[in-house]
Amino acid sequence: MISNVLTSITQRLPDAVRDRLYDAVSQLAAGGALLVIILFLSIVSPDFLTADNLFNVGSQVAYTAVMAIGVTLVIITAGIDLSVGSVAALSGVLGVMMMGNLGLPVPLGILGGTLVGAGAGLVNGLLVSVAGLNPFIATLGMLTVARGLSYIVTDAVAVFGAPDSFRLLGQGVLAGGIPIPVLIIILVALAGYVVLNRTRLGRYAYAIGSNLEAARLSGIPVRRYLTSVYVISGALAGFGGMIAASRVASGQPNFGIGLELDVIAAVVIGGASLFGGQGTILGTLIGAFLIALIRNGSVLLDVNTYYQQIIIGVVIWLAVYWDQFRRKRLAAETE
Amino acid sequence: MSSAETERAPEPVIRLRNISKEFPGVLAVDEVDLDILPGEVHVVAGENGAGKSTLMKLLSQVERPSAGEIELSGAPVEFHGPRHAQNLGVAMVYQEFALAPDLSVAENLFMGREPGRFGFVNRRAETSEAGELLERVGLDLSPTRPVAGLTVAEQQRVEIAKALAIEAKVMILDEPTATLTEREIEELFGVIRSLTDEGIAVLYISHRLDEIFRIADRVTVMRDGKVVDTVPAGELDENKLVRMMVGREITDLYPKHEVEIKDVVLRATGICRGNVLKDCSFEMREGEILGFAGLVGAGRTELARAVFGADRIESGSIELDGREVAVGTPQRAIEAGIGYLTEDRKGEGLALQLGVDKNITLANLPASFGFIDLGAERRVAERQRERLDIRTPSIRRAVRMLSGGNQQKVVVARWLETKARILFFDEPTRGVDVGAKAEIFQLIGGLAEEGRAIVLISSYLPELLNMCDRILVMREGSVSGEISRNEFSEERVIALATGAEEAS
Amino acid sequence: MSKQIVAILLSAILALAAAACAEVRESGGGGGAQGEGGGKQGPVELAVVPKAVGFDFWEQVRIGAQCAADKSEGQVDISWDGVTAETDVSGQVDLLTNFITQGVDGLVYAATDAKVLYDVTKNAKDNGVTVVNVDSGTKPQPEDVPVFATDNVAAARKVPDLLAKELGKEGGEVAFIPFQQGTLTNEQREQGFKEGLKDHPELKLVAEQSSQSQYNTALTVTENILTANPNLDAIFAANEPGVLGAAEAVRQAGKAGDITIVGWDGNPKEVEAVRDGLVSTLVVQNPFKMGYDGVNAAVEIIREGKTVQGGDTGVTFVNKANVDDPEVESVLDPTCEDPPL
Repeated sequence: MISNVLTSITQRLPDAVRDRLYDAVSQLAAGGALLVIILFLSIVSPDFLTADNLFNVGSQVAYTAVMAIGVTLVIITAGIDLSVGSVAALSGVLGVMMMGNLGLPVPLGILGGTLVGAGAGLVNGLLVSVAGLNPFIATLGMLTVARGLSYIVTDAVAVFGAPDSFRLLGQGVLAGGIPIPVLIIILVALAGYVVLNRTRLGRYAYAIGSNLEAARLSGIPVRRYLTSVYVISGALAGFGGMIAASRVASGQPNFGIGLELDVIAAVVIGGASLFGGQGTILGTLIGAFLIALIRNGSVLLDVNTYYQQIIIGVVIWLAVYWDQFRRKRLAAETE
Repeated sequence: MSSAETERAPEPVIRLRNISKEFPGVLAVDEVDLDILPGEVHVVAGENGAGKSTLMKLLSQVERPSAGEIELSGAPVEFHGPRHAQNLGVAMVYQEFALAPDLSVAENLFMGREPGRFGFVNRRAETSEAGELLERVGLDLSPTRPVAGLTVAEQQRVEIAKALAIEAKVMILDEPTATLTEREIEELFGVIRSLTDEGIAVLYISHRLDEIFRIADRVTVMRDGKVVDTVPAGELDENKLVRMMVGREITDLYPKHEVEIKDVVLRATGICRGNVLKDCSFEMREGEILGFAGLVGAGRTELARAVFGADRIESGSIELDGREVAVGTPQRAIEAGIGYLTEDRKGEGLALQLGVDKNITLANLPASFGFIDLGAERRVAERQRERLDIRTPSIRRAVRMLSGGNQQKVVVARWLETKARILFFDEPTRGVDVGAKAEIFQLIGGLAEEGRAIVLISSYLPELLNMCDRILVMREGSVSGEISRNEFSEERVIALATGAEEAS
Repeated sequence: MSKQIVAILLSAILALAAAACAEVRESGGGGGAQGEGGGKQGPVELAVVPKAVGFDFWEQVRIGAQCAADKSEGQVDISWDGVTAETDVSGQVDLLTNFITQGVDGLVYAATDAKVLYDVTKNAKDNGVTVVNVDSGTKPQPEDVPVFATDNVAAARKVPDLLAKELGKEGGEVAFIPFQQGTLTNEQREQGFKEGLKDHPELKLVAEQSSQSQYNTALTVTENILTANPNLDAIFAANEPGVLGAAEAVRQAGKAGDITIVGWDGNPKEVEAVRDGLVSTLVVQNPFKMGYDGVNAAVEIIREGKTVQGGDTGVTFVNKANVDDPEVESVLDPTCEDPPL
């Protein structure tokens, strides 16, 4: 019934507008929800709309957002990456160990952590594209393997020893009080946007997700691009892990347990379809911020942690319902 | 051609009065009046989007009419849903069958109305009653067989038997011959005639012109949701029918040009792939349209795919311009100038969610160092839209929103962009309107004129006989013969396709 | 159709046979309370299972357990294993059940969930496996299963006293960072803390957010708490990741020293925070003693067949003043040579 009401409204719009509308509609929905939450929190909590708090939120959401951008690419190919939380932890501990035990300078340590993530992504990508494993299964396996490795290399204890300058990544502040993690989000998002919309990789990712066989029969080297997509997701998970490690100046082997759910939720809320072929960077960012604001607002309003879970779950339902509605509308219009 | 004789009850078994169906923004069925007489074969013809399917959905109570009445045997019918329609004796056989492949024939026949009490199924009764029904539709197999093992034609027969199981008075068949061979079509027509002899009315949706003339008693033509007219089949000819369906004159359904055929440009020798392709060889020449004919499963698509590199071949060689090439993957085939338009454009050909422009450039992206030249892409798409007359409000529109004919044009545009000299068209007019079909054949003819080598795969013989210069006939994985244009005849093709005669 | 009937009958027979065989297995002392009757001599195999591996706290439990095993007369072998997150209740249940099936002589473990793990204890006892709890027991706690743990309630009750001392008569705003609802220790510390608060009306509890036992999460929620309560005076964090996260948040907010932090446990990083003045007092448990007493009790029950009482392993309040004292050193960094007993 809701569908019919929405449909009759949208049917009255001119074609061109309607097309763009449907394209942007999930972003609109999530973006609208974001605005509503921002308005609500601004009214209800005096501390919310302060530069301090907003910068805090930006820092808090940075690693989730960065990882979500990587996972967006994977989900566009109709795949999924469940391993990002564990890979982030593994990258964090190994990166810190490289700096603390091997004495690597901070930039190399961060690079090292990112490469660890890329390596895990490569394994995922090969399992999916060459061995033909279902992405859910392949990355589920990596989830446990990476977590196990995190515990083994650290003896199940947090690792310290990185130089103080490592804190800059996750705690540094630029002129004007803008936290470095926020800058990182912007840079990674821009890069993600360019990749998705302007490069072969992005285009082929959409094609593969929309119709794998059609992509193959159009001469696209599917294996190569599918693997690349997982490598990127892994690398961003690794980079996100370094950001998280920098925030606490240590490598925590138990970091990120369950984080993949927040990440995937962000991507889905932002309008990507788990069936592939759809998804945008902006949408993912909106989704990530939406979740972060729900968490932030809950603490500001002293709401129980577990209610936050329920709220986020409901938001996911609404996002997916909207996605279904949009699909049905489009399907109905093509005989 | 006509079925039961003059002993028809004058009362229509179904009468539609002023039926309309409105969807948001679309008037799918517009004040339709229609009578269906018992024991007649009534064909409903029209292009895609004419409203035929929606009309059938109204009859089978899958959709509720927005206005108008339906009468069954003189009594008005209330809308209660598909189950109600079945109880009243209206049975629908869909294009995609509604059978559960893992269950047996008998279980499928009685789905939802299994004989038995207190929740227990009386299997013996189920099996024997199923056997009787199968006899009536001329299907000679065991009712306990799982449906999955049956051929498409057999499954269709089971669907028809399902209709008999509910004691249908009206059976609706939606494009039943799309996936059948010639012989199976003939058998189907036999079954239909025996059903109408029993007094069952058969409503038959089709746009295959020659079939309409073979089976129909009366024909109702729909266009844009309205009924154009209902006429006895005897009063129709092809031109009149097409004119009613399209609303304008189509002078040339099969525009065949005279083209000078030049040298051999591709030579495939000894292509083998397991049991599917057995030592197949053929040649393609510049300017020539070569047809691949054969029954479903003969290996035509497989041969095309093998040459295109979409499937691995175990042995055999491919020569381009006299030089042997290893084609192996679609990527290499495209680089070598070979293109392949898939049989199933939605399933394998198009990225439905992406725009027209993105689909067109999919096989040949204008890009350097990994970055796409969006401006060039736009120009390419506009150029192709112009050239092929692709009807879409914008080149950015998602391809899934286009009609079948225009979707097919997008696929053609894609392959034109690869500058392929050798093109395989696999069932290019399946699911395409009469008007757009002519355009596509015009296109194919034009491509041949430009000197490209074309293979046309089609299950619809008239297409091949009209458009091709040569026809290669396949049977069970091997080439059973070749016929050149001056020797074309339906009988020759069918004989080679079914094995009645070996290579000429 | 008859094939199906046969298949069903066969399955039923096999199921019954399996059930019967399960009963026949040797269950030493099955059914009765543990420790009754004669004991077992020869090598004793114990499984020592913490709530999770990955924290210093549990590592110290292991050192204590190993120490007791080494010092014990006769051979005592310890298998140390645990799940990776204290929230993985079902994982711990499976782990312990596997040990029972393997036929260990005793389980020395800390329950991730008090109610759920009671069934495991019962299962163990039914199979003749001795059970001793450390740090966290079960609900209900069988009388013959001793618990060696901190009396969390009593210790937590003292925390508001410590806060009051720091904040003075005017008192102030306090935030509480628990870790995992459903864990006995969490509930006990919460209970004790809130009871103690009642005696200090000058202390106001303004925020309560769980750290989920994760450092990053603790950091994030404390940041947000600080935003919501700019006049916050004190924080009580109920376990190690909470303390570290809260301290880090306070440090990043530039409020080091302005906010009094009292927290549980004493791992090196927490101690460093005390030395740096970030954290005012640590409530340090004696996990070494838990492992030590736990193993010894288990061995006693198995070898001599008597019942053993549990005990309060006690806490030490560590602050900047006493952090370098030798007794505190021994508690913070216990070894078998220098045991804090």
